[in-house]
Amino acid sequence: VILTSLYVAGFGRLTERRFAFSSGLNVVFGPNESGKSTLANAIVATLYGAERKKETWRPWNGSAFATTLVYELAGGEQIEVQRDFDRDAKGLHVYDRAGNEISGRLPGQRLIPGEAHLGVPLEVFLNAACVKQQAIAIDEGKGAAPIAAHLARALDGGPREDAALGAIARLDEALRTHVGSGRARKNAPLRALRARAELQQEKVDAAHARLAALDGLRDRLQRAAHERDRLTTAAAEAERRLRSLRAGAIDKRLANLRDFRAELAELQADHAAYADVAGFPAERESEIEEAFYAWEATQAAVDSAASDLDSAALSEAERSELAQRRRDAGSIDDATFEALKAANARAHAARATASTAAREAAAARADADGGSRRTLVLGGGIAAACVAIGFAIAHSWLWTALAVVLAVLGLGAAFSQHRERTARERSAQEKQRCADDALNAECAASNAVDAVLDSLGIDGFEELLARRARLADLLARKRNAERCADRVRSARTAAAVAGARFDRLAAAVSPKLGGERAARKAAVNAQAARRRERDGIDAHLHALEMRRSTILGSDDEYALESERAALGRDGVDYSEDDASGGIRAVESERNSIAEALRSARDAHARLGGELAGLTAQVDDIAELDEELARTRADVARIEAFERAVTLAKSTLEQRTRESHQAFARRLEDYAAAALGAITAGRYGEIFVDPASLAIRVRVPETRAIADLDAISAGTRDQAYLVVRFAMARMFAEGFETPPLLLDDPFAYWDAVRIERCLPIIEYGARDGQAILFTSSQELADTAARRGAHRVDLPEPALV
Amino acid sequence: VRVRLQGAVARGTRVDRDLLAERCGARLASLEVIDKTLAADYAKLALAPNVRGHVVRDLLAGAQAGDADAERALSYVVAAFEGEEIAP
Repeated sequence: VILTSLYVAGFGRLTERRFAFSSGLNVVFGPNESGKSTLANAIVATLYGAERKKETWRPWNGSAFATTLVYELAGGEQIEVQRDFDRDAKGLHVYDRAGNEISGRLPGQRLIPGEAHLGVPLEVFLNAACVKQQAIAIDEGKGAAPIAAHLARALDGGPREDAALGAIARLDEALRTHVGSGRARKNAPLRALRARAELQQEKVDAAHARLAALDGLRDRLQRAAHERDRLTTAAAEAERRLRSLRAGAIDKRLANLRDFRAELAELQADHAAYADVAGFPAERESEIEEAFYAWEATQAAVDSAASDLDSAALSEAERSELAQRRRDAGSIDDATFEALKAANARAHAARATASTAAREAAAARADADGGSRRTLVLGGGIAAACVAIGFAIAHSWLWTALAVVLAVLGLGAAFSQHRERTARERSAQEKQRCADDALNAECAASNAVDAVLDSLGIDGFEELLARRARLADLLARKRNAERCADRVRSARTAAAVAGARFDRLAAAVSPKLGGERAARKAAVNAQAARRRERDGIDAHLHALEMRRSTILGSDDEYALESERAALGRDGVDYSEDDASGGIRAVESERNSIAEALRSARDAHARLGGELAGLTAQVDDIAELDEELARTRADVARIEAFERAVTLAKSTLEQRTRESHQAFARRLEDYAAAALGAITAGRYGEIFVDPASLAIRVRVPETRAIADLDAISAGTRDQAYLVVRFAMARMFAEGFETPPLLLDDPFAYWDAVRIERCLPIIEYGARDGQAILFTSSQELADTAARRGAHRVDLPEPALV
Repeated sequence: VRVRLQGAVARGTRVDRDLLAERCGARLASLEVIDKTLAADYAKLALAPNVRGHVVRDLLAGAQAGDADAERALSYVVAAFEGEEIAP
């Protein structure tokens, strides 16, 4: 872009002024406060707008706040920009050489001619193409740091001098402050947030675990509530059944009361019918009966005794026989009878002895008569002796010995039998004599007995015994009859006493009674029976009274009727279906249900309290979840922040490195050409550190690379100018080459420095346009002499 | 209530969503503030032939491709160049 003219209708102190510029170097000379900076700013404001500094540049004299700038593009196209600053965007118009407005054809959302034609925004234009007052006024002894700062600001962009490196540092600081590094011990917000999130997660898990543990208790509580509700329903049902049964019981008791009254009236009528025996002593009936039966027993004893007497009395014949026996058998006393008895016994004994002795004597005689067997034995012995003799003769000695033995045995046996026969004959004779003695004694005793009995006309001792027995029997019967007679007398006396006692008792209980004792007893029995019946009625009446008490109990009839009426009003009716088990069973059931209900309520309340207590010990999960969610959101936010800042930083570092390295290469090329031409080849190498943007040069004398601070101020000025021109040209690559506006950068330079640097400016303006604003007459003159287009500004008016 | 903030904010302005929600949402059941403001005219910055322009161009491309980190990184890198506070 080559600025050709600028018309200022009103801009700051400039009013109605027109300036013309040419390509190459232009020098605008004017003393201080003549409007050099105003002119430079008018150019910039016309291209990019005044924006926030509009009021700063409002015309002092109140003229129209407008400018018109004409410039040519590299392609030869002429552009005229008319700007009325008071109308802002509406006051901007762009025309082509033919006067056609081309505002609508310019690119960009907003109409900014500088951006549209120069291709760079205002900030870049200012950093790259504008050099402010004294920006290059580097005094001797002052470091080269400002040069690096200007370079950085121009290369990196942004309003701050530290530019990209500062931005990286601030991004680092933001990461350290809000994220923290992994190795930081104190300031590690993200790690602390993650730790807090983990801790909160553990709390949430623990709270959930505790709540899960309470599920069992909740189940028990729910079961207790169900049991309580069930028992409440059961209690209501039991109460209803009880009231129904109560109504039924009252109905039954009232009916029983009515039955009781009817029965009472009937019994009272019956009781009146037994008024005649009211005073009868029924308790004495047994006494009277006992007296009657005693009399009756004694009377029976009299009859029995009389009967016995009749049977025991002796008949006339017997009494006569008794008298006869007393005379014969009874005349023998007991001593005589005993003597007779002994004599009779002796006679019998002698008779028996005589018989025995006679039989033994006969036997002994029979034994003595047995001689044939003895003869046979004797004959045998003799025969054997003869045989022995014979064998001896025959000299048969053996047989001889045998025959001798037989002969000895036979002869010995015959001798022995002879002696036994002799003894038996003597024994038989002795026994015969004894039998004779006994027969004599028997005859004597029999004669003595017969002598006594014959006088009494008794035949034998056995007859005497029979008569004595008959006498004894008759005497016994006579004594028995006498005892029976005594019994009859005693029984008759007892019967008279018993009858008198009965008569007395019967007369005492019923004086009007008469007749036989049996009839009187029956009458007494009848009266006693009536009296017992009356007593039974009395007992029944008493029982009825007790039944009334049983029916009513502690209630009264009116209270029962009132209660029944109340139950009826409540709609309670007795139902047979409710009668199973009875009222006591239902009452028992109701009481047990009520007890169970109390227990269920207590259990429910206890479990509820326990659950509430345990639940209160559990942290609020919703609050914990919210805290955890907030912490996680904070973690996510910080993590997103970390990723974004890291991305920004890495992108910035990469682009900074690339840009600085590219600029370093471009600067070296440009510096080699520019310094070589200006310094006649003495300085030709300038280096830029891509990291710090520190500028170094190769010293021709030593060929060493030295920092800019280490070389002379003149060389440093030159190096800086080279850097600025190189920077402007580099930014212009691909775009229009911007005009370089130097706003009195060499304000206090001397002639030597002007002489040293002016060629560099001319070199920079060689392919474009540079406008040097200066208050130095010497610089303006020198530039003019060297071919620069000169514009003079008038002296400022004195106020 | 969901509030979406759009457009470019003045230089040096930082949109604090939490503070806005706290101040404006006291009478609301819920107030969500969605910050879609632009700290600068990124498209314009992306045209600058300097480091910031290159960075903004790179990140803007990522943001337009749906990279939320790139979108946030844009605001942070511009704030870093401006020297403003960089906070999540």
